[in-house]
Amino acid sequence: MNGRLAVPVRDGVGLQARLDRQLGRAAAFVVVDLDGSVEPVYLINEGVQAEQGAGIGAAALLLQHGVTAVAAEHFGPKAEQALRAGGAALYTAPGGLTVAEVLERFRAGTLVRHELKVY
Amino acid sequence: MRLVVASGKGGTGKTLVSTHLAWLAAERGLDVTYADVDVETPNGHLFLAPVVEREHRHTVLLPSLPFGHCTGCGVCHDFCQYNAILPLPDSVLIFPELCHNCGGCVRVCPPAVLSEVPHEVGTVREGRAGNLRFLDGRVDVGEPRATPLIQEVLRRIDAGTLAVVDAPPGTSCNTTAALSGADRVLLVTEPTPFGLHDLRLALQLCRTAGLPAGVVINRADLGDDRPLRAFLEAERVPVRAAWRYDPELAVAVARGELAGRRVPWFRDAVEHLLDACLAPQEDGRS
Ligand code: SF4
Ligand code: SF4
Repeated sequence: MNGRLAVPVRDGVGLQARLDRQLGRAAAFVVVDLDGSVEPVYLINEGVQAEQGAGIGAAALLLQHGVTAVAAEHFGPKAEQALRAGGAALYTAPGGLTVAEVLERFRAGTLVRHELKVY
Repeated sequence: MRLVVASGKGGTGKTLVSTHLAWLAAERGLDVTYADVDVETPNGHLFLAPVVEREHRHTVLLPSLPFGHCTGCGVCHDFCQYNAILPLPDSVLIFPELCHNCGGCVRVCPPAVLSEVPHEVGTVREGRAGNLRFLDGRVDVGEPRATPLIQEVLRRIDAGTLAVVDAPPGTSCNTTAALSGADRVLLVTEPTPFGLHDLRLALQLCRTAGLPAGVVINRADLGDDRPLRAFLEAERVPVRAAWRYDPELAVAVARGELAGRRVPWFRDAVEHLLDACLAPQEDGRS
């Protein structure tokens, strides 16, 4: 499996870190290389304190790290727009899961694809 | 002197107060400008019925990537303090609602492929209502950022004249923009629990900006005004005026008339308020 999956997390680093609620305001991200060739990367979300556009800052950071898929409980509208523009696939994952659990569901194909909302 | 009339929330009578202050100041022969920067819903014109002499579409400059080869280097994104521009592999995505139109990204882009294009945000009108100079701004529907338009209206106020500014309600960026350059602030409120909560926030905003604020209590008999009075006393905020509910006022407002023309006690009340606003301040500031 190719590509990189990113998950917003709070408390903890590696694969045992738990999913944070929203992308832009997450404390950090874990980026997992799906073919396993690179160790998971832990990225501090430095833009978390930004007054505005935290979601875009987060999206820019993830895209810079070659992320192709993102799993989160919620996506802010701007983060969503930014990630889609960058070609990332978005998935909804229930809050409270660990990164390892999210990864397992992703590989099993049971994560729900976050569909584009048409207003 | 610039007097800004604001309120913690909408519908408290802010426009009633600001239009009357401007009108009565002009009746006294003062050189006065009324500036309505409640740009989402500018209503002052309904009461002052100005003759509009000039109308102009205000534009801001937005970055755009019309042609040329963007390298996706991200220099523009790193420069932007507002996260308004996102680099993609060979293009950028611009978020106009976050852009503050500083033009910085255009200047720092290494291959210089960005340019600035004008983007219309709203309409500024100038005119006269009798002796009064009239200004207002109306932001376009769906335009996410109104502060440039507010600044443009304020920029047109002549220095050295008395200006009465009708500010957007609340404590948003728009209210903050309207307060910039103020000498004094009047906060219009009503004695309701929500009114008090919003007033607290508005007062905080004024204090942060270092602006002396006084309060006008509209419809003072509408609820129990004791918590409000106690709060203002504890905070040492002067009550500049307070009046009761009068159906005559409501009728005038509904008809789009200046209530002071038909309700003598109200005209007197605003005359007193105007005196208080023009008088040197207790703390020695003028
Ligand atoms: S013009 Fe200024 S605020 Fe707007 S995107 Fe460029 S750098 Fe950011
Ligand atoms: S700085 Fe210029 S070349 Fe670099 S990403 Fe931004 S628009 Fe593209």
